[in-house]
Amino acid sequence: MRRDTIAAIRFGYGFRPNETPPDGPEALLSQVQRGAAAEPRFAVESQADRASLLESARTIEKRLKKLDANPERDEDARAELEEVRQKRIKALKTAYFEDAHRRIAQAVLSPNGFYERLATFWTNHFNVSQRERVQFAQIPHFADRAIRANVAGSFTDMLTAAATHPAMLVYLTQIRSIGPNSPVGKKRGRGLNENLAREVMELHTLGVDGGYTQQDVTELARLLTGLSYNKKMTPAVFPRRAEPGVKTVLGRRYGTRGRPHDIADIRRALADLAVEPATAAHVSQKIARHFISDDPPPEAVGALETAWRRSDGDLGAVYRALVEHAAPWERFGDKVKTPFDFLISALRAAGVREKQMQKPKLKPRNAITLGSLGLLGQPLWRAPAPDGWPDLADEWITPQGLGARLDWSGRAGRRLAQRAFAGPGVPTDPRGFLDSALADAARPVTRQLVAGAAERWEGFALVLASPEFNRR
Amino acid sequence: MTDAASSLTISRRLFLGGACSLAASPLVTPAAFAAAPGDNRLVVILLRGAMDGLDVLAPYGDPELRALRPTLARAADAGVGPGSPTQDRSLDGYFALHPGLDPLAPLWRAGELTAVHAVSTPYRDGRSHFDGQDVLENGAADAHGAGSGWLNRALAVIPGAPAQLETRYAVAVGRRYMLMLDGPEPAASWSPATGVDLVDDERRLLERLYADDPLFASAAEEAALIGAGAERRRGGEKPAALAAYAAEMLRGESRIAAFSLGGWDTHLNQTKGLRRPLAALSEAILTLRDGLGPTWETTAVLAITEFGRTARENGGRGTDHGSGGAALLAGGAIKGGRILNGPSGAQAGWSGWPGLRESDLYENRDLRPTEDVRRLAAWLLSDLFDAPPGALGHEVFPGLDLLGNPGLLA
Repeated sequence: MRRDTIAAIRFGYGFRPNETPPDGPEALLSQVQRGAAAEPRFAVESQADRASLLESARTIEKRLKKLDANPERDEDARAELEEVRQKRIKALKTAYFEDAHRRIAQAVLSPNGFYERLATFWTNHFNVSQRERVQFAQIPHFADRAIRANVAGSFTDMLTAAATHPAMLVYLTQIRSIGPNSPVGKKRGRGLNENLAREVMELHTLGVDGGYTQQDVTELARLLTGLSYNKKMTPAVFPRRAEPGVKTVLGRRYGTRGRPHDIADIRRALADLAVEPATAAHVSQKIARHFISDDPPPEAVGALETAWRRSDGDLGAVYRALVEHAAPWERFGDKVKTPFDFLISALRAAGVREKQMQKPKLKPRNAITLGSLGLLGQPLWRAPAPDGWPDLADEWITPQGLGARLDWSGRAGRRLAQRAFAGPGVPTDPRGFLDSALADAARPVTRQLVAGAAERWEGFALVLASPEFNRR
Repeated sequence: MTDAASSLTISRRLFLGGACSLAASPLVTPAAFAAAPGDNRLVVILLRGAMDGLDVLAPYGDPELRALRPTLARAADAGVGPGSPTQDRSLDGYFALHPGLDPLAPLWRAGELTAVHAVSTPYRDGRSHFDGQDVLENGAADAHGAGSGWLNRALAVIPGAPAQLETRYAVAVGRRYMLMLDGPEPAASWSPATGVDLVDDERRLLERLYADDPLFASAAEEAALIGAGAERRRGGEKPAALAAYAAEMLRGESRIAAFSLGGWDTHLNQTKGLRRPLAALSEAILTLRDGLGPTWETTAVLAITEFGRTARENGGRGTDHGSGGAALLAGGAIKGGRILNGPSGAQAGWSGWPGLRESDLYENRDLRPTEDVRRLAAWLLSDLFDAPPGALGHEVFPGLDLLGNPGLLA
């Protein structure tokens, strides 16, 4: 198989008409650099706006509470205020759906496929799911600032940014963790919440078999007490909630006797966890599983791990070890695309244009783009648990999972045949579409069936439903 | 264009819903719809995220509860005290049903609801949801102990369980992958939110497209089979929809169904946080009852979770990952109205209620598990489907001791 086919499909989101695919390791690595330098399509210019909407909705909520406490309240004034509040919430929701559409557009339109795939991988590694309204403003910001900004940097930086980001602090219920011996803890009789501490060790760094104990979890939780964020959405330790004293995590001591810790102590602990050998092993295994095979060769995992340890988690060095290793180039088809990756690569193959991916044309539930992710089983920013979406073929190619892909392929095939969303350069003939979408990855039997399709749309649908289009 | 390819007449309905010619399919012959043996049904509900047994079935009779859970114990006290503003939620003078499960109170009174307290799998100490759920689903002693699910392996030891998928004897409902029913035995899996109804030509086309790819081939074959006549249902992944679909299957030829309900990981503001999952669980069980109709009489529902939560409430009026939890059993087939493994419900051969004093707690933090939740599943499989205890303690739950069966069925 041609190297550019493998590079585009295994490491990227597949071919897009009129885009030159990468042809080898150097081209892939330069995509990472270019991707890091490029402004993403979502979650940038509008963040100040989201934060102020949120703040305004909150202020109104407080005023409402005050009003409700007064039995002689002016009901008309209350109703008016409630209306304003609903408007703010609606605006926030609308902004969120715009961000979600832009997040799809970003992956579809970016010429830096490998960078986009890495951004998706890391967003899933540090999974944050939308649970509370406040996250409407936070999740796109998280995906942009905590993840994308650090894809080409060091793991330490990404871990620190992700684990202390407001979106994560809300998701893993960190914001209410209070030191039992802190002034606030003593006054209110409140205490630890170990949720974030556990997931940082189990999911983000060491891995469940990474050699930590319940005691380490508790100690890290003590060190994280008081960690929340301020009005500027910046993480901060509130000293009156922070547990005083020394905390010992994996044998290392943080904080000062008799005094509350500060955010620098937390950053130091995260930096230490980031360079633990168990972290290198755990995350290398996940990267290899994502890009090579559900059950990657240990020797390939070892190569990533070595690069990680030699560079103290410089992600560029790890990516180099990955793309320069033979295994990912030899095992085409070993991986199954997640629904998100399936959708993105299909929209790319269809040459969908920027204009077609923008509001107001797209409704939140648009069943061919954003809305279809729910139907396909992977709703955006809504993984059911902190471990994110699975990365194993068996968990996606279930009868219901494949059924949903067939259903989507049928609908997309009709649109392609009607030229409803096919962009310039997309072949009007399904046989040409097969070539432009899969090049030499297309199998003879698929060629035969596509050529034999009775109608044009069926041919398009067969290309999208084929195993080679659903694999990589 | 080859002859073989051009001779295919592809339906306009390729990959789309519509009426289907089920009878003409070689896979779905009338024989496949022959009644499966036995009338009994089992529904397993996986409560993902670790349900707090000490809140859902609060031991208000234990004097330690209020000290451990100053905020959370209030709800239990409010529901059982004299002059309680609500109906009396005391179940047996010691445990109180969480207000969120009020919709199930009629089941308790009708003798169709039972709970078993202080249960868990053999999984300890790691307190990871994901390993904990793997153990709950694989039925082994640890997360890497088996690559298939216990409910799948059970199909091999249930006498008369059909070896063909067509009968849909066992079905996992919902989009979410379920290890519990995955494995070598034929178990179906489908989501009512998926609508794909393939006519014969389409099926044959997909058979050729997927001929070299067993994973896709078997998924497509099963999709064609189970999706037959199915329409995509709006909200098909909601708890009530999952339960309604499970009931529909069980009214037909299915005997075993399983689905997941999430939202139990209540680290923060648990009183509020439990409302939604408890409402979902109540709704799911009542939907099963209503959907099954007379078949409810021969149905047992087992709701289990990966572990319990800390005995003490945490800093955010929630609870963290713990050990001992609770299991709920419902259904017309269940011997209801009792709490097993509580202070008064101890059985011969059981360790009984562990207590909540500091020295009673597991690692000074969790309710100490004194009963293996897998035993409940094994007893149900044995009593509902005549699965031989020897095989249950061997192939299905390796190394599990089945002695002390209290008789979970009415």
